[in-house]
Amino acid sequence: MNSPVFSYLDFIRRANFREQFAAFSKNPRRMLCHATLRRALFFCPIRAICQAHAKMPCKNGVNVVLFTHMIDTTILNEILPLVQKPARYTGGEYGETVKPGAALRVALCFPDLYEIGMSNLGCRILYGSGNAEDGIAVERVFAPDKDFREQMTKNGVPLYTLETKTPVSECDIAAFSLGYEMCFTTVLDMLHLAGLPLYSEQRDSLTPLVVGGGVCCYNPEPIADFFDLFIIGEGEEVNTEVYRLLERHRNAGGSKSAFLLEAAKIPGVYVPSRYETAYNANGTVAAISPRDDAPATVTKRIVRDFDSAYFPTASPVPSTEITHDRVSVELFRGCIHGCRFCQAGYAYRPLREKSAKTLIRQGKAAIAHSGCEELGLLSLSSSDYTELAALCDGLLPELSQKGASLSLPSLRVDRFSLELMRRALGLRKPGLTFAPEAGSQRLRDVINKKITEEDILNGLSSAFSGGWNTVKLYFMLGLPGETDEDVLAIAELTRKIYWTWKSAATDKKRPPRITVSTSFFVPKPHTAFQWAGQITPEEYMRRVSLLREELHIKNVVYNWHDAENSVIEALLARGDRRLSPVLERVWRDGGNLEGWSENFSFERWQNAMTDSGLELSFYTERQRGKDEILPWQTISIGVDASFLLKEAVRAETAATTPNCRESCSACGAAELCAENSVCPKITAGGAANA
Amino acid sequence: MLKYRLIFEKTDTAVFISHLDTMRTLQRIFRRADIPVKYSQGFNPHPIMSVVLPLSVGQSSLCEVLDFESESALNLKELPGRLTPFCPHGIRITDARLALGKISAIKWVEVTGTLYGLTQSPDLAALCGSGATITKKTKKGELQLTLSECVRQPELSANADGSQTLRLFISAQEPSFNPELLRQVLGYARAEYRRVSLRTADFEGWA
Ligand code: SF4
Ligand code: SF4
Repeated sequence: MNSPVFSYLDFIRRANFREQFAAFSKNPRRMLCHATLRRALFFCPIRAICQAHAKMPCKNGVNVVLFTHMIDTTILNEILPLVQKPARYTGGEYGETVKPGAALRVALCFPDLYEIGMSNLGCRILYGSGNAEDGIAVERVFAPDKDFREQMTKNGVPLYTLETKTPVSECDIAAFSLGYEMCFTTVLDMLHLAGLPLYSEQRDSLTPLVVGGGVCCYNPEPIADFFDLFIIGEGEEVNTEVYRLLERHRNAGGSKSAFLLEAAKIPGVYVPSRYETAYNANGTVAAISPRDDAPATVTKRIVRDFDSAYFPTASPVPSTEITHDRVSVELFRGCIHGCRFCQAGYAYRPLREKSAKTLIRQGKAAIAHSGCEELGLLSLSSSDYTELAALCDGLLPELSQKGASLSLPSLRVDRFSLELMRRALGLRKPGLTFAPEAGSQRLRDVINKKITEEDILNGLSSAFSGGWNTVKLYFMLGLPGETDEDVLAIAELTRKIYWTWKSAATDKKRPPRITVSTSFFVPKPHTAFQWAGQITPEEYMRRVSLLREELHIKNVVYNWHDAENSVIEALLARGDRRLSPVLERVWRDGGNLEGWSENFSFERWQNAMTDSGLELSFYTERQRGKDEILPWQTISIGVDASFLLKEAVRAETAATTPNCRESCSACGAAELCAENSVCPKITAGGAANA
Repeated sequence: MLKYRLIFEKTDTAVFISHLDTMRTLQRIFRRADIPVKYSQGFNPHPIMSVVLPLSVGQSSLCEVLDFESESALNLKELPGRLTPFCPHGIRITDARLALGKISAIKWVEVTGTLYGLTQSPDLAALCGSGATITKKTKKGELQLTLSECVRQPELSANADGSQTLRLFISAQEPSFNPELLRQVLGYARAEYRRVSLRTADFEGWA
């Protein structure tokens, strides 16, 4: 991986048409006069097909042709038969959007395999909402699996978009969706496969602009040096604003720096190169200084009217099986609960529901368009949806007539939801899931997870007597303030669940299947625990053993997450800009697709950290001071830092905080002014009226 | 209850859809087009349809056969036009009929192939007549196939770009023969095969 076998840009540089046609435009790679296009096709020295993508009049009245290469599909036909599941690399699915004539081409890059990316609702939303715009083409790019990657490099095939087979380097924007920290090295690999320099400052030309979005951008610092800009928050609206601005600058022949200056003025856009970070001798951040007129904080954007927001009911239907092979609707965004460890719970505030009417319409349309067998009702916690019964009633008749079923992940298990599932699923009884996260009531109060032992046992009692027998329980080990007693309480609860089965199960000959999973707590930015230290991996493993000893219970299986992965996740989640060279080093040492455990190597990360003179434990285990400058504090998720601090203090005394429906705790998110949100209306004075 | 048969093309990017995925894709095409297919009984009901003579990934075809059952009487003339708009790129329904002809009557498949990197020019006709064998790997181990039983009337012609065009009939079933196996005797670097038509034992068109 150290010496790239090919560099697509090299081909372009070697190509003399760049000089030949320099006279015609400031950006010869993209614009050619109509008359010279034929010559360009003739001169093109690479195994590529030149395509005129759009014609438009330019300043001096000459017809200017926007022109890009399309990779030669005969090479693809040669290498695709040699790889696993080639349908992942061809495009051509039913429902894909191909816009050959678009004036602006966006490569929507998902730094994981096709089967993961196509299962991601966010990706489908951004694909659809972008393509709904006139003159803008959004095309999909996924990371190639190892075998295809090898063939691509060997044969000089650059990373390309599925729709028009345009090399990513020829697109106007490469927009990366950053959903989890372990994808960071894959991003670097994709930039490399596209033939682009990794660092923003090494990429002089305006296009392709490298943009990041998604939850990881709530702390974009570890990857800040690679990106030109980040979109903070929900992309449906702000993406288009960025696309349009870029189009204007490109057409005017503007420079990248001039564009970035303007882009930084769009609310929700964070341009990392316009901020300077200084560090103290002890390694903590001394100051983050915005240059010139860059805003001191960038506040996340949200879709203010969620009910009428764009929703993709007609997205591409994969011709090959993917991880979540279904279509879905999104019941609401946000969550009322405010569990103190949960980044999603804070970052998606405030809660905004879609009406059942809208959802029924979208769900029916998505099923009709796709022909899928399953409609997923997605949200962070579906039992909180106010019109759940009406929604299911509205959807079920049509679905069952079509032989399709509903799936209801993240439902709280109680009598009501069991009845719903019975109606939705008929005879099928999938495993039930509980996420108490902590074993004891005390620790659940610390993390503000308001589920009681009684809730769990009552729910399960109804489930067992209704014929369910598979239960999955999720816990975290290493939560702030966790004691051995709290760990052992997990086993205690599990034992009670087994007894509940014994007394409630109708068919005692069919033994229950109880799975207990523990993960290693990773403190996340923008949560009440953003200051907390992660326990050492040794201590985590000690707690795992402690629990394992106690979980030798009949019909109970215990799984625990690998410690090392969570350590690196913790490093990246709260990292700062000094981690960019570390990421580069890990990637150069072969780090890629590290979300797949077989590709992950802890040693690689340790070496990279040591060689960069950085201490892993400084980022992971260190308890931050409450007055410390945090690397991500330029980014605001709309929730005040003072509120998080208050929550952190309440956690220390195990004091719980009511959920947003019980009463508003004035977290600050009301000022994002969402329509139909759970928040009290903002009065003229600007203060939330609780 | 009625048994129907569709003939469809699988070309372009669709050649990379595996046999299993083709089945799933077709089921979804029917749902999109709202054409009722009969479901099997039991705990896990599935639509009763089958694509006969599985095609290898990477090979194209103009004559794939899909059999399905339906409780409703369907208009055969309209059927291809109703289904094709719901197909992914490269799949096209070309004909619909009642499933009368026996699948077992298909003996030969007319295949064309474009061969690249063929260095020698073997005498295929002689090879086929000589009793030479080819090794076929199956789940149960290796199988020796006699070429003369599997391949008929091979014709090789050169193209302007240096590639060769091969036209031949291969055995469709008992034994089924994948034209890619010819790499063993022909030694080409790469081939693009296409099924053109299905034939009976005496090379008549199969309907
Ligand atoms: S219920 Fe708690 S853990 Fe779940 S999404 Fe809401 S805040 Fe997060
Ligand atoms: S402002 Fe109040 S209701 Fe709105 S999200 Fe914050 S705590 Fe919840």
